[in-house]
Amino acid sequence: MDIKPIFKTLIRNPVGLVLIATQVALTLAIIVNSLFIINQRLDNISVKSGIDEDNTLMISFSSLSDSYNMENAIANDLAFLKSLPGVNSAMATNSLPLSNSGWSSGVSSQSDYKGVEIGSAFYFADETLVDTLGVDLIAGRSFRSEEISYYYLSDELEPPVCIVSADLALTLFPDLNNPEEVVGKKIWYGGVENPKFAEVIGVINDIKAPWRGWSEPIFNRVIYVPHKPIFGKFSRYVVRAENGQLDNLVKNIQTELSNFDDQRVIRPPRPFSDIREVFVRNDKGMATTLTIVIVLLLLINALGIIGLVSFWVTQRTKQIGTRRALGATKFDILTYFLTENLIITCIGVIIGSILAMALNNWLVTAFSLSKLPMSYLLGSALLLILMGMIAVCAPAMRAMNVQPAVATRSV
Amino acid sequence: MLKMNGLSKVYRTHLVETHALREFSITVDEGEFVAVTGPSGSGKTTFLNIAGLLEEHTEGSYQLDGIELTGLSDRKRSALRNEKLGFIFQGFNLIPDLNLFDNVDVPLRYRGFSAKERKQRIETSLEQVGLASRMKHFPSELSGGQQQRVAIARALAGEPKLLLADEPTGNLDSNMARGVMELLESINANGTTIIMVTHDPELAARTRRNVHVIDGQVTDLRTVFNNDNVERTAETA
Repeated sequence: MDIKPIFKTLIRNPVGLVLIATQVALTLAIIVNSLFIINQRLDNISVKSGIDEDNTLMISFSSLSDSYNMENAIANDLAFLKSLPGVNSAMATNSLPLSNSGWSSGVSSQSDYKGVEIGSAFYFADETLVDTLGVDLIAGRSFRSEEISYYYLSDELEPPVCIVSADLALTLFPDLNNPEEVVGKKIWYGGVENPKFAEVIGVINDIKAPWRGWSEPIFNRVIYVPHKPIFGKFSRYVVRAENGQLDNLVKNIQTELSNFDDQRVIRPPRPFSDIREVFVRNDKGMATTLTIVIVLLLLINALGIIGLVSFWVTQRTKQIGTRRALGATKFDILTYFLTENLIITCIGVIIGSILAMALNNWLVTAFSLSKLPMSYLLGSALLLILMGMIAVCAPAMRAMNVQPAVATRSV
Repeated sequence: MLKMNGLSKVYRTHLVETHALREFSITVDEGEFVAVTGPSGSGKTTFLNIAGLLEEHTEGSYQLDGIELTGLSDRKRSALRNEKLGFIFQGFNLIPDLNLFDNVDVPLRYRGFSAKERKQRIETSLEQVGLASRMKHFPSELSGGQQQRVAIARALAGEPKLLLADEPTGNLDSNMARGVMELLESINANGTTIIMVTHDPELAARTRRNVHVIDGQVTDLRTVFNNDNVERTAETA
């Protein structure tokens, strides 16, 4: 099928061409960027926290009395928790990855902060850090029990040693090639006026902060300090269950701790799956909404094409009969309409690609999104062309079955 | 050229059966100019549709240029329409969004000719109908007579063996009709067989043979030109 006469016909009667091409172009621009955002959100949803998520829960308590001995309670609770059947390990902490709440502070590799000051999440942990979280210690060592101290909110944060994430280590010390080389280095915190340092004793791979951070990529930058936190009358434990025992623990742990010491309020435990669910809720919502938008847009597009081509087939019934009388086969008629639609869709796709890139540029500027990879543009263009071809099939087949005798009918 | 024998055409719906043609037999020789007349609903257009392979007959046999057409596939019928037949319609049936050149080009593209050959054929056929200078014009820019000339050029471009005209002057005033008829006569004089359905007895009288169709059956009114005397013999096929 030669496209030249079809193209000429479209140019001569451009209303349908303009309508459908514009619809395709706008759809492409929106779909490409939506798919890109969906993919980013899916990446967010599938992010690994760096801990043993399947076996981890968090539980916290508040004492009822000012005279309640928090240090004793924490020590006794941890011993009790570790003795429970199905518990692998437990420790007191301030926060967990992806939990959306925690501490952060600026740190530097130099005491005068003349080097880059980098934001980092701060977690508290004890000597059971590796066992309790199941993290991947790739260099150095974990904390020793003699390095652990209680931390009260009124205290200055002065950890002598720390364990850092590999990402933070290599960002603070960009000249080093190996996380191993970071062990023994000093990390400064507390600001220029009151600089203090902690010696790096270990490096953990792929651990995440409690939040992503907006102004800087804090998500992979983590420091563990050797403290058991006491926030007034409140503290929090992270418990790692043995494989397959998490559900049982979630069911019983609150009662067990309450029975063990009834002088405080034990809050319901939160398995890590709940923490993750809250963390990815917005991403899931956005991905779902955009998916619905894409499906609806494709549907509207398909219906637009079906409607217009159906109208054209009805309008051109006599013309189709004439073409058949002049020697067109059914296949010629089918390919005529498919080609016509392909031309319109391709024009829409070309315009849509330009619009998509313009929209992406705006999103990059306005919302700090990443630049659109060409693969998204190509994939979306192919999707729209395929959708267009499928949509035009039904009316094109109706056209194909117009009888040549229509040519001699007077109406 | 064309031979129909015992042909019938029945249109069936779930309520009614209509016999448009019955025991219809006719032979048209090469080079003839045959006028087909008859009252409305007599079966003229059905005959033309079947002759032009636009419809299939129900019973009987139909041979065109020595080829038996009964039971041919749609694809082969399309190819035969394109190669052996030319159509001229009452309403011209030009494609409004294509210029004259591209209108005449339509059947040639289905034929698969090269661009060069198509161009040559289009120019020749438009010259033949006196519209070569207007090949970039669109149908809406032409008079009815000129549009019908374009339709004739389109039919001629493929050098058909048989030209089928369905009321070719039906939408034209008498002056234009005369011009179109003269054109058809000159085409016939060059050897192309023409079958023309018409209501106009004057036009029918100008052809060498007049076939009258009544109630789906044919009455052959042969017109013989013998010097200036016209003798009509009627025979029933």
